[in-house]
Amino acid sequence: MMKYLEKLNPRERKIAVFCTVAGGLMVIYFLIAEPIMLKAGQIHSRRKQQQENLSMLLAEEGSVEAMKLKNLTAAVPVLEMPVEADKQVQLLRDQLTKQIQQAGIQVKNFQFQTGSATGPNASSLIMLQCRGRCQFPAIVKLLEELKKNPYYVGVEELTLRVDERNRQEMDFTFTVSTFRGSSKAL
Amino acid sequence: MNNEIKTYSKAIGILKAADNAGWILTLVEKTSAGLQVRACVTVSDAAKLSSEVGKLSGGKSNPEEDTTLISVGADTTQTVFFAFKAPQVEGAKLTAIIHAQAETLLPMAISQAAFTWRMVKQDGATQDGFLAVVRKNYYQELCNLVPGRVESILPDAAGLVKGWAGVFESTPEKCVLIQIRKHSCILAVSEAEKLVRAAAVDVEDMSLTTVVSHDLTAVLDTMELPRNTSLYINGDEEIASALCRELTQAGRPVQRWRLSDNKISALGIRDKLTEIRNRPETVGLAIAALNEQGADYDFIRLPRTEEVEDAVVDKRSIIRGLAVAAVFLILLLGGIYWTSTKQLEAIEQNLAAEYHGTTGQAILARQQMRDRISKARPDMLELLSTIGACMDKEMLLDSISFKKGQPVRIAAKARSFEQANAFHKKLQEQACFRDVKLISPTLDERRSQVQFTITLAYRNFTR
Repeated sequence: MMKYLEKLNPRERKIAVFCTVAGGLMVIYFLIAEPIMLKAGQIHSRRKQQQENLSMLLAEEGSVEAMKLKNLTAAVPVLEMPVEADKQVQLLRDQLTKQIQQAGIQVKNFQFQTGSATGPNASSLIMLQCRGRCQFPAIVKLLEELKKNPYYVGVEELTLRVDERNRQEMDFTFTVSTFRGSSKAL
Repeated sequence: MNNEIKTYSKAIGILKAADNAGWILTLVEKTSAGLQVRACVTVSDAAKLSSEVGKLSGGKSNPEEDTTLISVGADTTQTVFFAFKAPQVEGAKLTAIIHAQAETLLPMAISQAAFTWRMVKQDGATQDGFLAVVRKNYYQELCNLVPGRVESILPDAAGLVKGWAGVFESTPEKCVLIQIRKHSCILAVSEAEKLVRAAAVDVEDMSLTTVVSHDLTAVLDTMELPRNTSLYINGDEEIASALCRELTQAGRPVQRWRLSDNKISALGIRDKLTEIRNRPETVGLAIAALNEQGADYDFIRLPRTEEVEDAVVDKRSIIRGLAVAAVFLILLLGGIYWTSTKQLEAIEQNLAAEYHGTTGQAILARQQMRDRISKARPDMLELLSTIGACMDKEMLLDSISFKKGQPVRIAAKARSFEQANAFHKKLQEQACFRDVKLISPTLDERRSQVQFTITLAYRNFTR
């Protein structure tokens, strides 16, 4: 290599050295530096996330994290981690039927739906629709009680239509959702 | 400025002929036996210079392979020398000081001048030197004489001194060389056979030797040289003899230039003696240009060797500094990477550790699930109660329809348009509602009721 370089004139030697150095730097960058930098970036963001998680777990009373946690618990007071879709459907239906009965609502039919939800969680949602007839206080009571259902995620649809002949009565269509889980999630 | 170190084995000195009728070229080659004058030719036209130079240098097309240095003489009538003092510094510092001094010394803007210098004497804390200055356009003219080939421009007085030292009987003592030309005399102060400074005396009629002698004496006086400084005259036989007489009468020690047999034999110029005697500058230019340390007063080959070394040293130190910085940077980044990895491992271990029958990861999973649910759960009681609070007691609600992703739709009956409008306005004032629209309120005259529909967006559940 050195012998070959010695044969070249100074300008050619400069060009050859420059090309070799530039090529070497490119190889080092693409094969070594870039993958390391990507990995380092991933590790950095994962560490940041885990640190936030840890500080949330170890949050002291009165801190911002503790307030967030309190608000979260108030919004979702009861929770069971979702299980496989079939089981989850049964659990939601049983609990919801109980709550509907307690509220004194007459349900004409139940129907499970998948794939019609919207939003970022749509693909992992299962929905249960029920139709029936009720009075306004009864539906309010049901909505209050729903928070105590550990399988309930949210109301997807609620339609109340007042009976023109008896304005105390109304027809309703009510759809609630639950997350489908997997055995891994447990 | 050319900073590259290149070894030349041949040099061609180029100078305008005495009568301005063409150019004289002298090729000198460095051999194992010493310097040899290979050719001495005159070309009539500047346009032919390039081809003649090509012939003399052996016709190499690649300038990198060509080891012939082209040195052009700058006419002393176009060159001015200025004395200056500088502190005892070297290299880049000295260059900077000289550039600063040049700005005050030169009678023109520094951008309009090309200059070079030589330090001639060291005196305690200071050193003396001379600046040689030519106008920039004259310098450009000389550069373009042989386009792309001129690598050395020297005052022709520098060639005169080297020619005298190379071909004639010379002395290393301080003396003044006088070269008689057709309309001027060149005075070159030489010390140790090197040019110190030079001046030109314009002469209208060279036959008026008394006048010429008077002018020469006046210039010598301005040079502040001792009266006993030897003068060496060369040029036209008659005029030189007459001037010798005049200057001797004026009390100056004057001698004619005498050819040195030894030097002539060594250079191999017995057949070219007439040309060389008439124009010794061209031989001198080539000899001076072949000096390995670089010629004195070279307008192109600046800075000199020691400054080139400075630049090389500077370059090396910069590269070394950059390399050290790069190593430190890599070590720093490596350290950060290692610390991050270790911290992540420690956090993950803490989260995976079991405590009271559960782990941090399980708690976090529940928190994340809670977070997802709270974001997906609309508060239906808030929706119904807010709508109820905005309604007038006399209004009749027909239907409410909520579906995620769609606007909430309310159908109702009011006693009047005002009542419907008031309901619409109240809904607009609620923080949880946006885009509240009252759609087609219609008066049912038979029942004297206004039927209307309102649509609204509820928090983030309506797109």
